[in-house]
Amino acid sequence: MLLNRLFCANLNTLDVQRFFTEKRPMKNPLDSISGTLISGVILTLVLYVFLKNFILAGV
Amino acid sequence: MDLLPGFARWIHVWAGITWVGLLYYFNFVQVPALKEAAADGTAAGITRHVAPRALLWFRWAAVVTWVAGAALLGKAFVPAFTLQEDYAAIGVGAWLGTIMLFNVWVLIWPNQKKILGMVPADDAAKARARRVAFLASRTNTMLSVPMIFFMTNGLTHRAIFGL
Repeated sequence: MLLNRLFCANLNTLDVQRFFTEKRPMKNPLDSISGTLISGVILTLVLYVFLKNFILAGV
Repeated sequence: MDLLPGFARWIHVWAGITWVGLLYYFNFVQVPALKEAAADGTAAGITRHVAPRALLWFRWAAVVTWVAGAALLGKAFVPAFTLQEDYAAIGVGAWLGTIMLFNVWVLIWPNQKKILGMVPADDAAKARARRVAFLASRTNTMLSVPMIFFMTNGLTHRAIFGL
């Protein structure tokens, strides 16, 4: 919806500025089960990359 | 002494299934069910008879899982928790499990006692306790995803980490 507004509308500089500055309520991903599980998968990938590239880099 | 790792692994997995199984029960079944039960006035059945029993098994299964895991690590306990080369992957799993144990005993259980009326709390304190316990429980559900990945792959499928 927001991306649609940003890329598909006839935009001028003011619209773009408003898109990046307007306040939208942030949702906590932990409030939904799907958000919690997706966060868990993303955290798994982040920790895996961190471990491979920083802790085990020299092995 | 060679029997110890075998027994420790058995108890660790057994208690871990109980702990994480109840964690998923709370998150996937009880919380959504309580919302509907509160709407038709039947929530007391869950909060009075089901939740206290589930929480008892949940918090002690967490302790047994951690202690059996520590026994299973044995001499590798310190190398795992300090993320030394050979034990770094299982060490990440051990740290995640430890954070989850902390959440159970420091955030979830004390706040659940207020919610269930086991300790006195006014309505504002109960509302705050409900939110803290909910977020801590959801955090543990989120952490369980990488925890299981690192626990199951850390020592037995080490190729995934290039070891």
